Amino acid sequence: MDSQLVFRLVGLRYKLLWAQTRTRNGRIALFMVGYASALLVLIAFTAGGYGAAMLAVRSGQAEMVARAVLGALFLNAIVASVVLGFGVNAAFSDAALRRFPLNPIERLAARHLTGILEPMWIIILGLDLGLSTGMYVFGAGGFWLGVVAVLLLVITDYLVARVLASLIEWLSRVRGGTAILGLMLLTVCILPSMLAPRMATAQGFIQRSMLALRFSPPFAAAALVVHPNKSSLIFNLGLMAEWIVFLLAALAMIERAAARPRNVAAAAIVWISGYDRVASIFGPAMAPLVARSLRYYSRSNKVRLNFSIALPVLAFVTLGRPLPGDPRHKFVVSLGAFAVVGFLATATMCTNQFGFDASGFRRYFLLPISPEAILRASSYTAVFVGCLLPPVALLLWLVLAPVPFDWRMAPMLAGSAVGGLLFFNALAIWTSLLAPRRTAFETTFGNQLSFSANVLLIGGILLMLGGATALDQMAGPEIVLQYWWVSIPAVLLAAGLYFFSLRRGAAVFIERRERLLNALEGRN
Amino acid sequence: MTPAIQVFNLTKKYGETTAVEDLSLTVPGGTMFGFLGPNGSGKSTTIGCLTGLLDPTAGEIRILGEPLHDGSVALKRRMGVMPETLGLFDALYAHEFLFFQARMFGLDEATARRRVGELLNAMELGGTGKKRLSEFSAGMRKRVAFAAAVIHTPELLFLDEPFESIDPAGVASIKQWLHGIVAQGRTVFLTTHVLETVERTCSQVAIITPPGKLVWQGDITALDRGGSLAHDGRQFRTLEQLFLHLTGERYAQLDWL
Repeated sequence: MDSQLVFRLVGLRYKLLWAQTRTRNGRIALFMVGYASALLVLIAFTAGGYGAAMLAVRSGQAEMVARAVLGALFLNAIVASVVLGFGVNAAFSDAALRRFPLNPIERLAARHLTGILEPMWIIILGLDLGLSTGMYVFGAGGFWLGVVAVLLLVITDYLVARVLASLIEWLSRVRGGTAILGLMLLTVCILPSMLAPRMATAQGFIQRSMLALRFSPPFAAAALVVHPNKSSLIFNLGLMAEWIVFLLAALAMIERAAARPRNVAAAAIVWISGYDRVASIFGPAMAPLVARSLRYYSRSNKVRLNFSIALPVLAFVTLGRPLPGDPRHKFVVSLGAFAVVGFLATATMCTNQFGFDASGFRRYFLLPISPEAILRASSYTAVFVGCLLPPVALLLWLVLAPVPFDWRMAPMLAGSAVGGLLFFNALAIWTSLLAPRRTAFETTFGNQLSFSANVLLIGGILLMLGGATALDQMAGPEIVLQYWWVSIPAVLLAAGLYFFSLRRGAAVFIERRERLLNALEGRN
Repeated sequence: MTPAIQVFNLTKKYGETTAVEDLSLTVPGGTMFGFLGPNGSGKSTTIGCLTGLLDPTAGEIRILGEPLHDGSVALKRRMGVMPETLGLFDALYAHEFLFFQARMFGLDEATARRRVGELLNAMELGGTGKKRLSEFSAGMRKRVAFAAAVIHTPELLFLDEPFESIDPAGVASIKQWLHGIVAQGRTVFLTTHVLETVERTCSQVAIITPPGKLVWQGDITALDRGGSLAHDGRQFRTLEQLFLHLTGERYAQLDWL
């Protein structure tokens, strides 16, 4: 294997990352601050892992604590990569690597080395190493064996994330795949919370679960970190190796299936006018622009994926949470989820409205329309598409939520959904105009949003969910329900902010169009 | 006949960099006009300014007798543009893209559908109904961009590098259509690096050098009649000779090649 060339490609990935950021001084500063912060977090977390090791040894439960820490990190990394798109950016596709003199094995190595050397996986490795080093220092484990164990664990973690991401990407592209994906996610998110109370009381359930989990990568790594005997060493090393081989085989199989070209054999023109009919409600001048945007939303793998995960994920974080006492606590917490549901489904596109147009962005300014109409059409489409989920969420909530019905809940949930959608879309106009980013339309995974869009998406979700929880704790359901009418001025305020942003944004759009053009066509 | 394009002292700067400097130009109506220059000379920037995409730093532009400014919506309806980067919406199918373009330029639904069908057949793209533009070859993408530029029968057509990547039969068809457009009294403004094509298709030519400075403009129909072009007291029998004289010949020696 030409390892020199492979590592040169890894270096190139970082050079490209640097090239993207060095064009403006501010970006360089941001990059440096970002990496310094990551380093600080790495140090802090490593110390945290070290602390966990100290606690583990002192409590005499070294292996149990190691299992808990490694298991939690393992799962967190998967959530961060699969749900938020960190750590699964495919820097080089197999097709792109074919330009270089590399054989298939070298291409595979180059792709996955660039993948696993993403900052997120290095942070996870730092956390895991903190634990294993701590175990060694406090005499609960061997140093080199600990290092090998956490390295194998991070590789397994990365491969699990890759397999899941590839599987979801493949499913989101095949016919009916989105529905299967939605059902799978709904099952994964809802089922544990529904079954947990029954299983906890079932005889021997926890013991059986722990026995089964011994075969999982984090438990195998924990066993290796904490003084294994010879048979345990061989068993767990073998287990980790088997996991890696199995995951590599699964990944290869899914990638092969996904790489099959789409059947685009010669086909006559079929006029599908559904988009045009729907768009006609926005008036004749706006209709072609809205119909174009609707096609982009409906054909985007990212949007389709987010549509399928939005409801299950929000149901999981609200209804799936144990909230003892008054069942109406779940209602108050759900207000936060309703505020983000429509935005979460469309965020990848609406926070970067022109990012998927690439050179098509240029065409907008050659059209015989005012640039204001382009911004309006694009934003109206985002709001329209985002509006499709809240009615479904409301219906499901009213039918399925284990909360005694109160008529005031329906307008409050609806108000939260509409107000949240308008509020977030108002801010999304600004991220689209001020922090545009050229984005590949065909991809499903990888976080390609700008820093501002990420702040809006992640911060917005945390703010709404956290705000609703805080409201529940401070005021309680009864008082919240008494103020049901507040949802009306809240919606009006959000609408005011939205239309103000559209109006003011139109002027900024015209003023910044050359900068947007440069950014979206790949010139900085 | 009103000049199709009049440019007075056009300057376009990007920060400290000057892309076009004090360019003045008149393009007569009803002509096929070749706008030539080496790479980076400011051709695309000039077209960007002439089509309303870019704001000039200084100068005045009149298109079809009317001043061009930010709100020239009616004027844009009379223009067709094929930009250098093509400006396609990659997630759409070819017929959807052309239909969008036709509707934006005011064609009614029935006319738009009829013209889309006719253009796709003429461009040999009739069987691409389920293929996204991102899946098209470079030549096919160029044909779609050309179709989008002409679908609304513009009075003034801007074509930035229209022939590159298109096969010879496609180029021949496009040239034939362009001659038809000019014969109807409409104007074509094109840039290309294929000077032989310019010699055969254009009647008027302007040559610019970096940063967007006009160094020659004139009638080249004399070449068709076996004549020559005069400049600096010298005679040039081909457009290529004149172009190289004006822009500088560059022959770098690479021993290892």
